[in-house]
Amino acid sequence: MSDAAAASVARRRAVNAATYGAAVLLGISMLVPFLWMISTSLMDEFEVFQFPPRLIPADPVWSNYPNALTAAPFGRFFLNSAVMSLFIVAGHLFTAATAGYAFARLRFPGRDRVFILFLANLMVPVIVLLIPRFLLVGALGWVDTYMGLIVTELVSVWGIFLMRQYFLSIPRDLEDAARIDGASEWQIFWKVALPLARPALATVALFSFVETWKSFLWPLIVTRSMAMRPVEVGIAAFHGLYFSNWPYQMAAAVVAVVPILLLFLFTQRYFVRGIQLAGLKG
Amino acid sequence: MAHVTLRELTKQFEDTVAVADLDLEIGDGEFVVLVGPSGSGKTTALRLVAGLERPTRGSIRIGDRDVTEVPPRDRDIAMVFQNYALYPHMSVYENMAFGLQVRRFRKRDIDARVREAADILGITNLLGRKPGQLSGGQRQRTALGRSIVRQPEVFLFDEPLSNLDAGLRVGMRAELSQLHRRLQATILYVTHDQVEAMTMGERIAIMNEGRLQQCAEPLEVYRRPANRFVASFIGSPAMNFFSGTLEEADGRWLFKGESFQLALNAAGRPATAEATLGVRPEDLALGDHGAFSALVRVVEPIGSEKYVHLETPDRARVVARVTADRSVAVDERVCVDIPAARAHLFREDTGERIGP
Amino acid sequence: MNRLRPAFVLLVAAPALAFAVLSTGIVIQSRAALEPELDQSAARRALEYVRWERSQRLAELRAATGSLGSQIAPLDIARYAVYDRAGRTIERFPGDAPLLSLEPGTPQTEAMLAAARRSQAVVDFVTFDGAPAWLAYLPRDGGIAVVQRRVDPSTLTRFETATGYTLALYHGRRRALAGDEDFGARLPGTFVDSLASLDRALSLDADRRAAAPLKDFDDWDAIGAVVVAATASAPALPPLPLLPVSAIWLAAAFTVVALGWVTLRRHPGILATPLRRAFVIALIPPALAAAWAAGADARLSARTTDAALDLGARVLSLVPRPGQLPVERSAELAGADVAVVRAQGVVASDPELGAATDRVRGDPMGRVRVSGQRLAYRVVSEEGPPLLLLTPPLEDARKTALFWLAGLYGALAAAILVYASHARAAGNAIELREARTAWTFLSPSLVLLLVFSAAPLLFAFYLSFHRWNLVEPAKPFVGFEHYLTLAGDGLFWNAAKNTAVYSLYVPATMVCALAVAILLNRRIRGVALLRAIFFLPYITSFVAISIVWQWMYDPDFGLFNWLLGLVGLGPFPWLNSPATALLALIVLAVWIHIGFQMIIFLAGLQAIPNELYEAAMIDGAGPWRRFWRITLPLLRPTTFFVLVTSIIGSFQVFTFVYVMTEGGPLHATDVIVYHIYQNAWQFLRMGYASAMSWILFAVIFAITLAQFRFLGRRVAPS
Repeated sequence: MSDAAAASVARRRAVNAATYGAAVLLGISMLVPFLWMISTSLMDEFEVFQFPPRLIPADPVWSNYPNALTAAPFGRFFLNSAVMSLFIVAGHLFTAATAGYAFARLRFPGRDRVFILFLANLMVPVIVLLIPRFLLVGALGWVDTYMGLIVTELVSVWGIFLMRQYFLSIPRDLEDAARIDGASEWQIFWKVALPLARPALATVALFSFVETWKSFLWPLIVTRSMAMRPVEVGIAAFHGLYFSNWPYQMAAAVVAVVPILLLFLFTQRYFVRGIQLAGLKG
Repeated sequence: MAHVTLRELTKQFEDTVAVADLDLEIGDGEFVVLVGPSGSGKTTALRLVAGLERPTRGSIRIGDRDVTEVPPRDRDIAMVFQNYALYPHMSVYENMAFGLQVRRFRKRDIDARVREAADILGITNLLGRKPGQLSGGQRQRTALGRSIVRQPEVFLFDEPLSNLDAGLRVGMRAELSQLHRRLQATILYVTHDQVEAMTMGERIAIMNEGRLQQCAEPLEVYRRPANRFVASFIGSPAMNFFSGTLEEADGRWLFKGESFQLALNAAGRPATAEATLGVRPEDLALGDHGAFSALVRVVEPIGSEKYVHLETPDRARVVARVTADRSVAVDERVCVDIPAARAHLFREDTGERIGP
Repeated sequence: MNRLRPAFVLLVAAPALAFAVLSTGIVIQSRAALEPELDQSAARRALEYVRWERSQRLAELRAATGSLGSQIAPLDIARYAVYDRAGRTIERFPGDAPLLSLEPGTPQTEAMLAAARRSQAVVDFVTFDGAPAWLAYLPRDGGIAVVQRRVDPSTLTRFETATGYTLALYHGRRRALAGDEDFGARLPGTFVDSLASLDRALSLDADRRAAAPLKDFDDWDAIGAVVVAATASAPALPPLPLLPVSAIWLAAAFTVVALGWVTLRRHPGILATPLRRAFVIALIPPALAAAWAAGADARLSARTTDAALDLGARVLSLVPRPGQLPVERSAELAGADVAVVRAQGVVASDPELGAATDRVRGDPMGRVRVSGQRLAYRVVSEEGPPLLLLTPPLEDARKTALFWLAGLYGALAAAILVYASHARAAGNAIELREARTAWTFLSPSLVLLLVFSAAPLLFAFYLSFHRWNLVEPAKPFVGFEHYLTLAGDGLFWNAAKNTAVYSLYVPATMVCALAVAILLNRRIRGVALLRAIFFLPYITSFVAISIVWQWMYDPDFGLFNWLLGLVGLGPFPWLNSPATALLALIVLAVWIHIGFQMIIFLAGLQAIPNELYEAAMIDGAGPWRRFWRITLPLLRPTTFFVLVTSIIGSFQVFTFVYVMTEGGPLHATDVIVYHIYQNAWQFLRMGYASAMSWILFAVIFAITLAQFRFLGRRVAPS
């Protein structure tokens, strides 16, 4: 091996090491807020207000967690979030699968125009809809109920789009085969197309779940009592109540972050694919 | 089992006519092959029979029923697709049982039928596998099994062998013919491969540009092609054609080509002056004397015989098929004889067969 | 084909029939709702009348004693007596009422006097003569007054004569006084409770009886009820016109029969032609039904308004010289706005109404347009100056019912037309079946989107032309007022500016995200973990993140100022200063969105064929050149997509602002969505907020359209 080649290899190695180091460093700095959150959540009220700040609590105050969690009805918050997410995810799966299938696979006059109209929903900022939706939900007597939290959110246009794309990728012959086998349109959908679309359904479910769990503005508007608040709104209210008690707030924040974090760790793959699918539509 | 009757069947897509006025009768238990180049409308015709497409005009009868407006599931047909269209999420067993399950057969009957079909096709040991774990031939058999278990009146095949490699294809061809005899089924079989058509079909229906060109037994098609298209499509290497004029001489037809004349075994006045003469490569006799002399350009020995590519004096290319032991050298000049009895005549304008 | 025909009849005729039923139902329901409203209005009039009577008695009492404070304002004084310090009667009312005798020197009298002196004011309830009474201390002469809460029975009979409603008073649930024996001795307990809590008139039962809550002297707690019952001479709504109803039903039935006949008749070939005709026929009865319902409803509505006005006029007629009353008082009595035309000018309870008097000439009653609203009026002028009564504009349930009716008709027509067009286009059983399946599959999403997205979008547009305050009953049309106000609203422009500045995080994030994506677009150990870490902020709770960052931004104890202090910078006030607050939000936004954009960039990078780089390397291009000449140009569609969608997303930021700054300090972080939220839900100006949201929608719409055009032309991947 010549000297030049050796130098080139050495340089490449150095560059690689540098980029690797930079990536790792950047990654760690991305984590700082999370670490700081955990650290603060274990400090006592005095340790928090020290300057320079202590990075690691001298004596972790684990009792911050039970104390913070009993200071507001967190159990109820989680229950509300869970109920809300469960129904909305189910709704998204149902509407996305049926509508996506109709747009991808069934022929009817005006299909593409209707599809464009569906997609046009993506252009509408949610805030425009919130006032009328609130009045509507109010007129129906659903303010501060699960119904109010759920009913306006049951359709995900993005989910319909994703499912449509996926159904389009399934060979049409399969459906024709089923048709000749004697399956009705519904059976073709339910027994042939839907089982094949499981990966797409999983992606839609995950995204719907995370979006719903994180949704804030509508639940903020449509719930009034503490007992109906989902986690996000509940934490925001908790933030207002315990404004100066940072350890409590951080403990609450940790608790709010953990479920999604766990979900993400196990399902990362689907997230990445989902986002990339969403990105490809443009 | 039942016969199938297509009457003036027409399918128009936007501005193209895929199938035009197709009249076809398939007898009870008959094996008819629909053959044609790609884009000839044969697959569309099959899908029309299956009910997957709706005809623009015309009617389809299966048995005594008019099924033109009947959905596929009520037509009592089975279809084998080019890509088999096996449900990837179901096992071989489930794939075969699906059509019976949606028809609410009893479990016991389903099981009996699936196992019987699997036994016929020799895939009993594969019943638990998913299509993804099967080889091409096994998938083919599964797709066949799926259609057999239904015991339909009519089987439809859409180029089922085109995805198999050559060796497997020959085997499956024989097996399908055997299966046909065993089931005594009415079969409509679509292919673009003339060998499949010739070897399997009891009758062949040749289509081109949406129109039925000829429908007859394989040898009849080969010997008496109804028009120039059929003549060129069936047979390999393809028939040689010579343009020329037709006149009456001594009460018999005389074909005048660019470089030769040929007296034909037909009497009377020819209907047209412009004509095309067609001769199959194996009917051309190479020898010391003949209608014209030609230059040997290429010789392709394929083992049992040789294809000899010739150039006529007017620079037309002609292929002759000779036995392997006939020695021909490139650049050799040979005489080519056209036996009048083996010559086919077609109208220059419509391409229709004329003469004897 | 034949099997489908019953389905056609079902699909087309059944909705027509259902629609006829529905229309009739809406009118029946409307009538059923209007009459109780009329009775409730009567109950309110009765209440006001009783209050007026009470105030009259109180005034008399005050004139008599000169010292009864306003706090002794019992509702329905029937009799009272004033005693001196010795317990001798000074005054009594009415003169012929049985005397309340307070025997001088008895322990009861002494105790009451002592209690009254101690309190120097009103003594709470006492039981007097078997009935509740107030006891009041009279500082002028050291005596006491005993006031018993009763209303002169003649008050009730006069009300009945004038209005046709018999009247009764209940204290608590117990009947205190009734003009007619029909009334029960007690009201249902829950009814009184709901009356008290709802604080409005309610119908008691289906027999045209209604009640209004009777308040205590502070006009605060409900202590009982005023109940009215309609007699034969009370105003009533006409019964439902049977002729149009039966005509509609006949028409609908005819449709069914005609459709059945048309569709069941054998037609060779395709059934489109007769069907299309049938579809059109099917649309006629619903249209008739809707038109009739609208007309009948409007007539009922007008009739109710007139009856209510008439009621108000009759109640005013009970009052001597109503023109001399303060207009606010007479407005309360009449249950309508009142304008009094005096020689020196018009006095009106609502200043805007004054002008209307000029336009009312000759006609004693009718409709007049005041600042864009149609009002019903009635002129009352018996003695004294003429009074003009005007109802507030009619807005309520019936309009909503008509709205639904129109919407349903539109939906029905659309469904039928879609179906008809299918029947024409397909004309074939198989394709028709497929189309029907498709619409069945679409219907859940379609209905939900129509109800919760399309309709709200249009409704928001409607709202933006109305003054729509949640708590005010009147929602007048104001035209472009909101949009004109917006143009000059500094806070709105401030919010728009802040939003635009905030959206600068998008290009900043894109640079970082692209760098990270290139960094992580290689097979190195732990790259999946690193990607996950970058992506983490985007999927976690935004509220929790906001709280953490608020803590990190703390100017005194926060992590940022400490870290910056280590390198000799700061301290910065971050969220606490208008100068830096928005910047702090931008930094947070970069941190959050970097992972999301990175993932999309990674997809874009991986879509670039490696051969291109290899070819470029062979051509001798260095890393920089490869980046500028290959990576960036080929990433253009991705970049453009990220840019546009992220900017649209940035326009809708809310959570961080709500949790961290609430738009402050000094509106420095007041972004558009937060501004809309505040207007709608904190200031309850929903019309104005809707106007703002429509502007936002228009901007986003324009950007998206521009994106499509641009994408179509310039950056479409080849």
